[in-house]
Amino acid sequence: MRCKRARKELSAYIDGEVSSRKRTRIENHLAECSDCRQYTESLLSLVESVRDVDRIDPSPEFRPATMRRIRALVKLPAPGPAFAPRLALALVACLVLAVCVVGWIVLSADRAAPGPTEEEIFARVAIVAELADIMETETLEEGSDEIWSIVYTTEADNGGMAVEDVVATLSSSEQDQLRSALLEMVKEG
Amino acid sequence: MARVDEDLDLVLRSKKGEIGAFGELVDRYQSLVINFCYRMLGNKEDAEDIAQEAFLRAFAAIGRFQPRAKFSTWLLTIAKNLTLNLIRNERRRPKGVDAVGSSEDTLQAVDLAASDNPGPDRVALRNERAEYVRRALRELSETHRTIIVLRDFEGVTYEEIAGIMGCRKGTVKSRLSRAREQLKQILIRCEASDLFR
Repeated sequence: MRCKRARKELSAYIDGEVSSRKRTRIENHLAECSDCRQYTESLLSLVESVRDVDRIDPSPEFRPATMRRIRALVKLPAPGPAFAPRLALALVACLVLAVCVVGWIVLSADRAAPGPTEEEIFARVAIVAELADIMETETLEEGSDEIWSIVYTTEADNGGMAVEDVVATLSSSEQDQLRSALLEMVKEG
Repeated sequence: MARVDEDLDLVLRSKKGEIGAFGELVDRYQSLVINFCYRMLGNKEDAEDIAQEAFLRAFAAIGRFQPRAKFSTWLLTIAKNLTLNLIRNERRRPKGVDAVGSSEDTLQAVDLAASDNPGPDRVALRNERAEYVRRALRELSETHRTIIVLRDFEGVTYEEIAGIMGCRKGTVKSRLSRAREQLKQILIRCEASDLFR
């Protein structure tokens, strides 16, 4: 084995990520090449230095704050007045769904294809992102965690908007309210 | 029960809506995720914000989690994506501060290194080396920084890194080799080479 080849392998070698056959070849090379031995030592020293950098401890508030937001995501009963946040929640959900439906109708009006195109999906995602930006600047206090949770669910990682997820977070009466609102919008639109 | 099996049990219970089970996953992995984000971002507050976001997204999408992957790998993938998004967004914003790291930490480390403690002080040397590494990390490309943080800070296996970064194990080997070489070159350029012999 030549030095150039050995050096490409030494990083995996110090991690024990080479085959036994390759390890033997590397070790044979190291036995006769002081430059590569020195290079190996410098790699080990580098890795050791990186590992030496201190770890940080989570702040005491991290876990409770995370769990509060997760509970809000599944809408477990929370203490305090519920009506105003839930109304705000329902209104935002209506808005999200209405924007999606109207956007979908407009975007698909001139197209023969039955499903949304990639461009349309991106357009819808952009709408939700915009909504999220707007909400970040609004003071919705108690309702805000729940509303944010809806946005997170909606955005969740799948390249499209999971409107069903938004609806699924609502109570049946809120879902009815949403359906009525949508019907009105469709009639007006 | 092995840790992976315990994780799977907690994931399955979380899928059924058992919040307490997900809370146990938070307990298990908060340090891993926060430290990964901290190494990537160099700021504890941002690291905790992103880590919290990662747990929320994981919970929101837990129904889609496939048990053939390790939960920690999946969680780190989410954290990595969020971290890289933040880094890219930050880069677009004009900055008035030195991009190379926390000035407070730097000053502390430099003070410590420059202090006239008698003799070779191992703590001071270690702090000085750590500070150089932190600064050098910020100069690496996102890909190289990610791979160094995952492997050398967090001890993640090559196979898991391949899963997190969406590449093959062979690519992890070559990228890690290049990343370490680049890190070494940056440290030499910072005239810190004598600390890494």
